[in-house]
Amino acid sequence: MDSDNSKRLGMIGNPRDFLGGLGFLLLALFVLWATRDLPGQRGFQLGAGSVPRLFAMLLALNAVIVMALSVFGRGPSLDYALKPTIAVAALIAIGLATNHFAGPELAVVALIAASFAALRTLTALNIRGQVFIALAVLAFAAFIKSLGLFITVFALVAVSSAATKEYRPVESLIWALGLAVFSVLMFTLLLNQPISAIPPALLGR
Amino acid sequence: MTEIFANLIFGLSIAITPTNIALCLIGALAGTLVGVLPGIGPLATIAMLLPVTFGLPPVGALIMLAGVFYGAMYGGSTTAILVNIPGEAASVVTTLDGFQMAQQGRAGPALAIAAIGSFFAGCVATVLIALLAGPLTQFAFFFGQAEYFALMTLGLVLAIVLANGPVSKSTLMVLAGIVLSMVSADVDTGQSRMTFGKFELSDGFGFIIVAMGVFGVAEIIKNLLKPSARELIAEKVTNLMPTRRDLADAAPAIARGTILGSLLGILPGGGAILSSFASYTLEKKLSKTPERFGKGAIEGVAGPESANNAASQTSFIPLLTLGIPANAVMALMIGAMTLHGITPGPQVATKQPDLFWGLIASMWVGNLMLLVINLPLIGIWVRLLRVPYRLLYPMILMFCCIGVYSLNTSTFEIMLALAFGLFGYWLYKHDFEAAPLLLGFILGPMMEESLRKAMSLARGDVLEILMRPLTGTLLALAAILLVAAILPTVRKQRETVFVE
Repeated sequence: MDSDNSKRLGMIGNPRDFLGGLGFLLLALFVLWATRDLPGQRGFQLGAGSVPRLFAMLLALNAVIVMALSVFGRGPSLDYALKPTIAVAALIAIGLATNHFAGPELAVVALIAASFAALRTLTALNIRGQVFIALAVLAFAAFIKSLGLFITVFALVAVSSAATKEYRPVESLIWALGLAVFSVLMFTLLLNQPISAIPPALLGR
Repeated sequence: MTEIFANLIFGLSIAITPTNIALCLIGALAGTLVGVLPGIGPLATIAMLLPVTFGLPPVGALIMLAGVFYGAMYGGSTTAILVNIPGEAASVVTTLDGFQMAQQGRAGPALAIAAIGSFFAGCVATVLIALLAGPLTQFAFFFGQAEYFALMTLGLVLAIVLANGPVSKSTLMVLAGIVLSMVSADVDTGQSRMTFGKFELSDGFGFIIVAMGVFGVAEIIKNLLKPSARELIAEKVTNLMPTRRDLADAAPAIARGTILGSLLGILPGGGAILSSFASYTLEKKLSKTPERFGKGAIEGVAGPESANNAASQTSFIPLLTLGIPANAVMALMIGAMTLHGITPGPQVATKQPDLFWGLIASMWVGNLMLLVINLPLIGIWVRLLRVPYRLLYPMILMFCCIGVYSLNTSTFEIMLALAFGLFGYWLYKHDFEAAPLLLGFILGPMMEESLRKAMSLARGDVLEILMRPLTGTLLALAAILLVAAILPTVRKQRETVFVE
């Protein structure tokens, strides 16, 4: 979620590495916290927590080294812009709220509607690709159990197609239909995967 | 010698059963396909195909998955030569001279030399695997838990040293992979570690999910940010035959590329990508007319293409003999073997000779198929190249999602794959290479197990472990390599290999 007109991050020569290192430092600290209750070495036996903590400490150390080097290094500037973050936060809020009141399927539908409505804004903020790909996968997760493979794949393809600036609505819908048919033929009929092609409710299950 | 011959014949008898031939062909076709298409690599493909192989016998499954890997090496060159985009990371250097040749109207000979070189390299590598497999397996039986731990450490260090990019960042990736692999129930005590009460996590993050997220979903997001201009240089490839002169120029390069690739493939880390870069550098250095390079020198296609195919195959050697993956694709193969109930390691050769020799022999069969798939049928692949990315990526995403879902019919795992996809995109934004992460992720639990066993065998005495001659040597070697890689002079050398 970076913008092109980014500024240097204070005195740090390579903010890209600095923030990357910081991310992993936080991960390492989180792991050290999450494994605090696991037993360590007892006698000459290593406990369940020994090895995770050992590698988490090495990871933390390594992350600090990367951050330290980045201060003196030179690298492309990168920073996390506010506007895209707000846009994503708004989408997440919409999703969580509708999920709470109306369940995951309708939450995803609401998100899809909101994202298509805000297509221009998302493109301008350079997060169109990320949002629509994530949304397509979310749609798959939300639909597959209750709506079956056909509808789910159609939704996945139709939504993910909007991720590119070369988006062609009509073509994408035809393609979605084609892939939905293909996936049913391939996965439920040919490969016999345990996925229902149509909404299981229609089968009385 | 006769024993190896007999073994190869035995392997061939397994590889040429109708089912296995068919599976080998499917693998080789799928490999060529993803090799030709930029934006999807063998890693994501193998992860996607894995669930499909559940119903197959293990031998057939592995034959097919292996075919995807070396098949991609063939396919990658087609795109590199015709479109100036590497279809596969390992064919980046092929774009330099291959595309130039195509612009001069010599796309046919470039494609032919790439395929012939790959075929030659594939044949040599197959024999090399057969030759080395026996002795190395024997050697591996001397290994105790401590030695295994040391060997894996050395492997990871080599992977770091040979990787592209700063050492500090590749180490970070390996360590992060190991740490992420620790989410699971403890092997010894069954205690849950960092699972936060999610029973889906008690087996850890599935490696297919991690691979699919980081190499499938993240790759798509990444590609959508790049401009998608693709220019096909040759609409129709005619006249595949290289001239006598071409063959004379290419032959030594093919031979050198094969040797270089075979050696580098065995080493963990670089594998196919590194060997193609190294071969290009070598050819340019040895050439009497280095100024031709970058302007359509056939050696610049022949060397690297032979090298990457040789390396992709010899990287199976540590996997088959020691049970240790040399690169991220081999890490997936380990996962595939485990899923099919095979414990990777030196015992595979003796306990499952059909799998071992069948797989090796299938590589030769596969290479022969690939020669046919890639030369006479080149027109089909050229046509496929015209399919725009806006149609391709929704299909890739579909295969990823269905692949993950068919593992356990779990929607939670799809969300997890998405999370790893966004994580992979974050890694890309911060210029971290994801392949070492997957290697660390697969090796993590293996390392933990041998370390813990070694520690209890040594009664908790770290010194006793370090004083074991083989363990000490391997660990010392790992330490020396790591320090050496940080030294400024060596660092410069490393960088120049990748800068061309």
